[in-house]
Amino acid sequence: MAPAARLQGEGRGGLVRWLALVVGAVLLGLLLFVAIPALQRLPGHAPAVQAIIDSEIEAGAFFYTDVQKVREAEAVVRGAGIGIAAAERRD
Amino acid sequence: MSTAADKIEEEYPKTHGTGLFGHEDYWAIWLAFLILIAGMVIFLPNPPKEMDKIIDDGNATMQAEAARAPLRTLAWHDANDKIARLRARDEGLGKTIGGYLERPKRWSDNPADSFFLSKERAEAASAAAKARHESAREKLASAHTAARTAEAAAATAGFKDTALNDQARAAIGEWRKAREAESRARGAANTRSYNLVPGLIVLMIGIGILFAIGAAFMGWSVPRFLIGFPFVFLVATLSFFIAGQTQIRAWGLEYVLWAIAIGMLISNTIGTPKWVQPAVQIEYYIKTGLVLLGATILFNKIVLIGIPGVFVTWVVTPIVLVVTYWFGQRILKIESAKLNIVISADMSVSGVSAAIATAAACRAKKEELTLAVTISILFTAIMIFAIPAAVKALDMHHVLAGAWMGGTIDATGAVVAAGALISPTAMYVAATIKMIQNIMIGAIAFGVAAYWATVMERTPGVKLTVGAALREIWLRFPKFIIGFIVASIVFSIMLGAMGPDKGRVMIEQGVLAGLADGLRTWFFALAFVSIGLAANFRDLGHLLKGGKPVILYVCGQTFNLALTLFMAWLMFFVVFPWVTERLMAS
Repeated sequence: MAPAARLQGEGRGGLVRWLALVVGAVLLGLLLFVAIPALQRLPGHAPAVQAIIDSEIEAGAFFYTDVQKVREAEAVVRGAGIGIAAAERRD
Repeated sequence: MSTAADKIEEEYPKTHGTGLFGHEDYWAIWLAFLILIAGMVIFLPNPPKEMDKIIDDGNATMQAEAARAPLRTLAWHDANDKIARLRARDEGLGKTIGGYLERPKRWSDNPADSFFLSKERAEAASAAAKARHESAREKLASAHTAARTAEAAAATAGFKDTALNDQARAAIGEWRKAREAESRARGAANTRSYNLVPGLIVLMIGIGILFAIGAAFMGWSVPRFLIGFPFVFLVATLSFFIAGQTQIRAWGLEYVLWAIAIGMLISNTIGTPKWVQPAVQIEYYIKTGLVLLGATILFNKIVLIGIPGVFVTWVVTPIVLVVTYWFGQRILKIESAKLNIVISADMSVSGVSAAIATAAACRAKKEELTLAVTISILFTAIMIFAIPAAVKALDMHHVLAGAWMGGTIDATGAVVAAGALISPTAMYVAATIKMIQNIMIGAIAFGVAAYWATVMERTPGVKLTVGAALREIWLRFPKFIIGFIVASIVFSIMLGAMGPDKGRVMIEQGVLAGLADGLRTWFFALAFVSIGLAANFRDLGHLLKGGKPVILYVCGQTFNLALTLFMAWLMFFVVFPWVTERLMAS
């Protein structure tokens, strides 16, 4: 098999490494369940965060095909008749 | 004496072979094409019932209404909604397949909701939402009556009274909002039980077998690959689960970040288990995902918002990309040109998707891609809220705000969320500009691959004649990019041939959304888990030395914000003000 990129941890073991994993997982959990929810309490942020939650927009999606609202936007903008072909017809 | 081809073979032993079935670049193409062809076979022969009639009648109504009134009337919206509801993926086998491509669901307080909801809890959730739904229905009926009354008043005046037209437009806008709220409330009131676990197991087996086919042809050990694969899939599932938490999702902290974080946590503590390592195949997953992504690069969409949109995206973005790259090379003197171009691309084009494509095109290291996407995601989380706050503070026109946000915020979801914090108009403009920018990824990836092949990694002593350039490109060019471009061209032609409505129903909401897009997202998740499992903090720390990558991002983004704002103002308010008027009227 073609090797993957250089891999860490070969032959590693021991209590310290497992402890590091547990500590890392706990820190990740604190970030997820304590720190990020706390960000919502930043002055002025709560309504904005809640508005995004309520709208059910996929704010984390990075490509246009993964965001439902893009379809709606496309229909509205196409309906406005401002594409290049529409502009030519207008002239 | 070694030839240029020998040298390249030494540099890229995995991706430059002689056979069409011996290397992962080609297997990325074959697997992606297999998925796309399967999608065509499943979806194209099964259009929704009366599709042509609904589209023709709907368009006729919309044209008649557009000729009758200078605003989008209730009848116009009804016709548009009927067309929008048509989706090939809702038919027969397509619907069944969709059930198996589901990712862990959105959840709020109870993590189990991401995978499982019992019948009792579903019934309790439905009952709890009944009152909200009833209230939303009443508001919708009331908003519809108000909109109908306002439209009738405007119509009585022959749509010549500006004040009455504005009142009708506002009332119809309120009806649209009420309709959306009712739709969400109805969804909550009809909550059904689900259990995603069996579907996820089937999906894991399916994807594992798919990649194992290529692995077998490439001479890898299939049993070892299949033994390690469930672990990679499990971490990918975990990353979707975390990203599905409502608050994390609202901040735009996507699965990519969690896939890398969990992978790195494992690899840098206990180490990636040896039995998992055969399934840690970054390039294989990412290239297959990228060829599938190529099918969504639909060039027909570039002109959707007219010449202003072309200038804000296809003129500003390349300028920002080149200037930022130059700044990184000449002023900041970033050690790695590949890191520089990946950060420049993700900042100027479209975040993670551009970073993935550019990194694959120039063969950047996994740590370089990791650093670039991490910076992009974190800054995007800030910009979702900071840019709308700036727009409100400056009392900026909503079309200008939308164009500015669409051209500068990295991820599409974040752009739409930021736009929604301003107004529907801002959101529509922002989403459209970003979509056009997304489509630039193909050209950018091709350009970067060609530049790296002919300039950055050109064989020493080779003069850049046309023939030599073509030979260098062929020898060094990542072959999967060919699949990426072919997929883009074929699907753009198909969409063009079908027309925007039928193409949307059958291609975008059929072949792509029904199969290819879902699998692509899983492939990228597997790739980023693999990156995390193969990366280490020390290499990442070395790349961050002096904070230069962050400085590059901040300086480039500052330039991007200034140039995009200027171009958007110039195009939408000086050169083509009628476009802005039409957008506001919509």
